[in-house]
Amino acid sequence: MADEIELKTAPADFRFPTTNQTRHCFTRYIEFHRCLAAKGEESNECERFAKYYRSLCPGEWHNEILQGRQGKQPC
Amino acid sequence: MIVLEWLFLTIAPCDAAEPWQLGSQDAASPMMQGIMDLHHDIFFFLILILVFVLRILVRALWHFHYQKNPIPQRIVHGTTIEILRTIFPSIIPMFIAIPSFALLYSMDEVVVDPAITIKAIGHQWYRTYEYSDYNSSDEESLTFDSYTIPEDDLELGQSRLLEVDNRVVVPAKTHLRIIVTSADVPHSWAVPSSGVKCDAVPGRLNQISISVQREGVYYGQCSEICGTNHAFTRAPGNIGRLLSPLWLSRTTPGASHPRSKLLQRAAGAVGSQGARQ
Repeated sequence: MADEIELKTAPADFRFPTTNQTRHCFTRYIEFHRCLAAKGEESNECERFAKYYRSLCPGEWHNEILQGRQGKQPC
Repeated sequence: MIVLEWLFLTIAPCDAAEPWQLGSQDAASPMMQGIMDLHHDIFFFLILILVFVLRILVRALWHFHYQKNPIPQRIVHGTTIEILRTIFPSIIPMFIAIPSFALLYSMDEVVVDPAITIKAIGHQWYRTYEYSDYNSSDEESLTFDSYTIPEDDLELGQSRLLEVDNRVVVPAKTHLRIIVTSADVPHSWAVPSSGVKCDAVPGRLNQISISVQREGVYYGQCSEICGTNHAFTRAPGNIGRLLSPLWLSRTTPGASHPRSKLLQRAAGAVGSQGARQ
């Protein structure tokens, strides 16, 4: 048996106990960027938050959020 | 021969819709097992009440005959029976409510952190699955589309309108978090064997927590009308073979493979990002 696989993902957040996790995804994204703003772009500590929001938010949403942040309007 | 056939049918679990099926599919998760147990509990009281009411009804009809019973009784009061027939029907729903609420609240409780998050995104008329736990940057999510295999392309032994080209592969006996959403219109993701049905609403992420207890292939269908091909969309795009993580590692040689490649091989799909028609 090769590498022992460790299964890990965004933990269950008690702030979002219900089925609707939309705000959870958004909150993790905001936390990641706040961490970057506080600790700097190169810091590795923010990688944890990055993993969380990538686990939760669908890929297509990344693009839309990114466009929104850059001020572009989705067509 | 018939005995052998019968034996086979009792051994192979029912994880897909069977023709003329009356009961539920076999439970593959504790949630479904709880649902089935509740169903059995309620059904017991149901039969009791049904037999009682039918008996009274049939008896009343049978004896309501102008020759055999020319003078029907004219009883209008009866305090004892009125009290009894009020108390008993209010006790029976209590017996039903206790296991029902127990199940309802335990279904919502997420006690353990999930081990893996899978996103199921509904489209018209296929599904996309994303495994993003092992991304190292924003670009590398393992994503694949899951289309129902059209009838002309089916191989012998495959179920019509249930099989898909790329199945969702998921580890067994692991707490999963499935995030269900949609990219266009509302869909619904349902796997009856696991007792799961969750609406896929555009703009909203719905989370369900399951833990599948046995390996196998589980089928499901889209459960919310989503257009002309709604009946041909496989909601989970059938949950694929559930494998234990050990199985995954044993079948991939070398310790240096990144995890996304492990999942990729197991899913049997090429990780593609965003290239949708």
